[in-house]
Amino acid sequence: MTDFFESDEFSVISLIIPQGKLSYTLAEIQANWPYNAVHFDCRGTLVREHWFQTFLPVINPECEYLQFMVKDSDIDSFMEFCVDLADLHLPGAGAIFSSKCMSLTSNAAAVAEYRQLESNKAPQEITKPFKSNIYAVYALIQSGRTEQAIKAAMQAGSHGPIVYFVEGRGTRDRAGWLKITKKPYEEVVMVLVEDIDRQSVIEALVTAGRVGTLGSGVVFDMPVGQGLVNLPRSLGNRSQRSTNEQITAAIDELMGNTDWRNRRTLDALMERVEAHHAQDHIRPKSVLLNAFLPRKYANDFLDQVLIIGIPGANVTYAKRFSASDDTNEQGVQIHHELVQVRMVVPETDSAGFSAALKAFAVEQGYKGVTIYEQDLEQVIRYQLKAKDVDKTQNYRGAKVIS
Amino acid sequence: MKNNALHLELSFFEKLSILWPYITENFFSQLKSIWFIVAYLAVFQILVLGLPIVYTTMICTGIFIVIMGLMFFMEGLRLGLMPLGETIGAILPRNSPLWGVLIFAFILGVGATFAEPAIAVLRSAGAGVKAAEAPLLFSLLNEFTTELVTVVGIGVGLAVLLGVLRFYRNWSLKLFILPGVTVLVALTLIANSIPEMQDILGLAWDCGAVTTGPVTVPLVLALGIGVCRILGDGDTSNAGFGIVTLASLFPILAVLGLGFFHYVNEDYVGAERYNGDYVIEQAETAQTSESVVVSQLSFTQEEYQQYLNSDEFDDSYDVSYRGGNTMLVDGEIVISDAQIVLTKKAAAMPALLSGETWSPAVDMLKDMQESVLASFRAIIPLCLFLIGSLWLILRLNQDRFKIETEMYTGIVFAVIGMSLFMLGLSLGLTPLGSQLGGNIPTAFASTVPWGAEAGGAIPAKYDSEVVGKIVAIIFGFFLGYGATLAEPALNALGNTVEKVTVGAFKKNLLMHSVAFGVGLGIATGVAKIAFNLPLVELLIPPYLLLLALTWISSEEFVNFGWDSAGVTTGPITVPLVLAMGLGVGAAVPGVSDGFGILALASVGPIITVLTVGLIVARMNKEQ
Repeated sequence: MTDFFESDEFSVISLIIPQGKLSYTLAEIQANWPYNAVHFDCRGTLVREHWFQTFLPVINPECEYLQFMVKDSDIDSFMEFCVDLADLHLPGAGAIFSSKCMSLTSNAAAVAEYRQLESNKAPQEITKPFKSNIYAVYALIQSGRTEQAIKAAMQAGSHGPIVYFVEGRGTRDRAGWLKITKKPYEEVVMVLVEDIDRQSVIEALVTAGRVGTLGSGVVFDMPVGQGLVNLPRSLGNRSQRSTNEQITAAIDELMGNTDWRNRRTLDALMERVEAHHAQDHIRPKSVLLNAFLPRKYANDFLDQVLIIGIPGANVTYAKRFSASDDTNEQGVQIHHELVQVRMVVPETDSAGFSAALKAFAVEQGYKGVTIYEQDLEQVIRYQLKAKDVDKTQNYRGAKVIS
Repeated sequence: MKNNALHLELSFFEKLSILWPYITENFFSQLKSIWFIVAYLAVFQILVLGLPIVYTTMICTGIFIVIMGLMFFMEGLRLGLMPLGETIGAILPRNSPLWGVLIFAFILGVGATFAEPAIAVLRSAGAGVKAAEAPLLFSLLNEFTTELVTVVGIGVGLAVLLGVLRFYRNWSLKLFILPGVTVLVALTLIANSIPEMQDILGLAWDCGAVTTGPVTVPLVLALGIGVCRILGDGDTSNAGFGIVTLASLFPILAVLGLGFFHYVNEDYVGAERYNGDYVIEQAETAQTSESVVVSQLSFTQEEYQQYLNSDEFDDSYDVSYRGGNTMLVDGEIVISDAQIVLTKKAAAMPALLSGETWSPAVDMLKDMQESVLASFRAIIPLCLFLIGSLWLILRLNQDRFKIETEMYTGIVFAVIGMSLFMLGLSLGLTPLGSQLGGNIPTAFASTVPWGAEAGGAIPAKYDSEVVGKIVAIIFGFFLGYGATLAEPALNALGNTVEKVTVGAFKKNLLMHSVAFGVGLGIATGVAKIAFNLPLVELLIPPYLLLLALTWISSEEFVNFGWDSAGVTTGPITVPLVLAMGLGVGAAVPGVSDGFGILALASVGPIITVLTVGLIVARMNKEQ
């Protein structure tokens, strides 16, 4: 099946688990669900709480980032299944969250099959307390600054961030042989925050990651459908029975909300919310354009991304695990390699870009391509002052060629 | 194909603004890796030994060239060699049957050995070997060289083959290390009981350390990572590592085997069935070197005349007496009829820098030619083989053959970098290192300073010989530490580890634990030579300790630790260490060769990295 189809009934579920649980979790999910997993490595955070740990080498725990394309009707039961499987309700166990895919278009055989699925699991009562007030904040930061950014974000109230590597595509890829000066990778710091902490965490990330300077990255946040976050916040102190974070989390749960944490008065809070809503109307909205495709098409596809005028993209190399993977005679799996291309584009242009990329994929005869959009709340990046773009299309900084 | 929408026209200044930070950043990162060893060598020579540095201009030029070379070479690795290896690794499992992959791996291993100039290094380590003292070793180094290289090559080939097969079958690296090291230890103990074989041990263990050089290691690492991208259970802990480890264990086995073969066959120099034309000389060279030293301390005719004319009793002369009758007279001891002898006091050299700034023996043009040739030989055939295989595989699968232009740029960078690097080494770092290596024995013995033969011998720096030797050992530690930080292959490994673990395992942590281990190993090696300890007693206990550590360590650290051991001995460490080993060896009676230090330098880092791993594992468990 190589024809593209459109669909609006999918969500992406992201699951973050420690390295040790990966094979078990994958095997169980593949045994019980038809969904394929897209997987890449990331690293978690470890905070030094004891003074003597400053002198010891601390190695961040490695985490695994799994993404599943799941039909909307299955989300609840699938997420609950994952929570049970990976004991996500325990502190420090990991995180799971879903986000809606807008205007998905795909010719991947697997995704097409999902569409035919009938939800065979009866809808259940939700017993696990999924929160719906979570935002996923992504900060693309130059690699030397990640440690400060992580620290700042945690001080501002976020959970332990997840860091993964991406390859950036942008200005330097247009510069001919000067392409060699490109850094091999940049780091993405991803944090999951509750709405009450969101603004301060974003501000902390922007400041500590120095996103406000030219060519230093971008911060954007994405509303999450529902999720459960139990990433480690900091090391437990031996002298205490429970950490401050555990106490806070317990009160959160008792109160049923997280609003009590804000030290500001209610008035100030209301003002802020209103100001925020007012801003929403002014600011042009952006969306996150995602594309999954096999790795061997990556270079041509990314060239095309730049050709049609998308200012930049970042690329994550991932593996696809599915129950039907080829195995060699020794039972070791042969993986399919995917790239995930993420592009932040203005909402107004996204449909056009998406269509152009799709047309390119059809023209080249690519198989297994999936393109979808995700809504973004706000995007923070360095904006050059508007400069007249002359007819020769001289590319200047972050300005979009249209 | 130039696409106008993709391609930007940049003005010259815009290009410069992109290029300039790139150049400075790379330059400074290389400077950072090399400054320690250079500063350390200079400071030690001037302050601790109190000797001037000879050929300063040449050395400074050389070091600058080394930094430039490293800059190009590391970029070449990143852009060219490593992506090439990784691409092939990722394409092989899907598009080629297992036997094809294994043949490819074997040829790659053999080819890499022939490309690395390892055997030259071993020759120079065995420079002082005499046929009468160590006949079997002498034969291996001088008559059976081709056999030796072939055997080592086959060892490395098998290692790459098994390393790749390991990824296919998902075997643990411990399955190879534990039995492998046990066999090695047993063989070493057996060999140690045979006098002829005893001499070979140093060579065999050093072979393991030397075979894995700055081109082979990154290529093989990248290949492994590529293969693991496709195969395996997504566990990063053994993604792509382990081949280097096997490539440093197998040659030891191979060389020991070759030694046993010739021992049983009895066709080495002086044995029954020997049919070569080398005749053992009755060596009696021991005195000559000492007489040279004495002559440096004697007065010349002019000085004698000067003394006669001035008739002054100069402070700079030592006074002693010979013979005479000793009597007790009125409570005083009186010596009569004795000869009063004036001898020259060895002159201290106060200058910081010697007046000689450029060595007359160095022919820059010839050096340049040699280094360019060597780097071509090390890189081009391997790359041609890789690109050829890639083309063949893709052609057989009717796929499109396409290589990014960056890759070619990278390969060109690697060749340029390697040439500059080797030129710089021969101009800068090696003269500096061998100066100091040659001068180190002044800590405990009277010798003639390197490059200043005219000035005569100087006395031992420290009165007690043991103190002097301890100073030499401490020097060895920091030499190993600094040189390791500058090794390009270790830098490449560090980058790879950091990338594979998504930054969880920092490059600096790996580099410093490895460097610390190498330092310890080299200090032990210097102690071995200075006190003439038997190699076996120093080598076997650490390896037994390693067996235990490997058994209890996590797979991840076993991979990193053992791989870094193979990586440590590269083009910077080896000449420095050998110069020092030979220098110290020459000043200690009864030591004929500089073998063994490198083998000890490979043990150290495994121990330190595994220990760090255990500490980390313990801390993570505590949470």
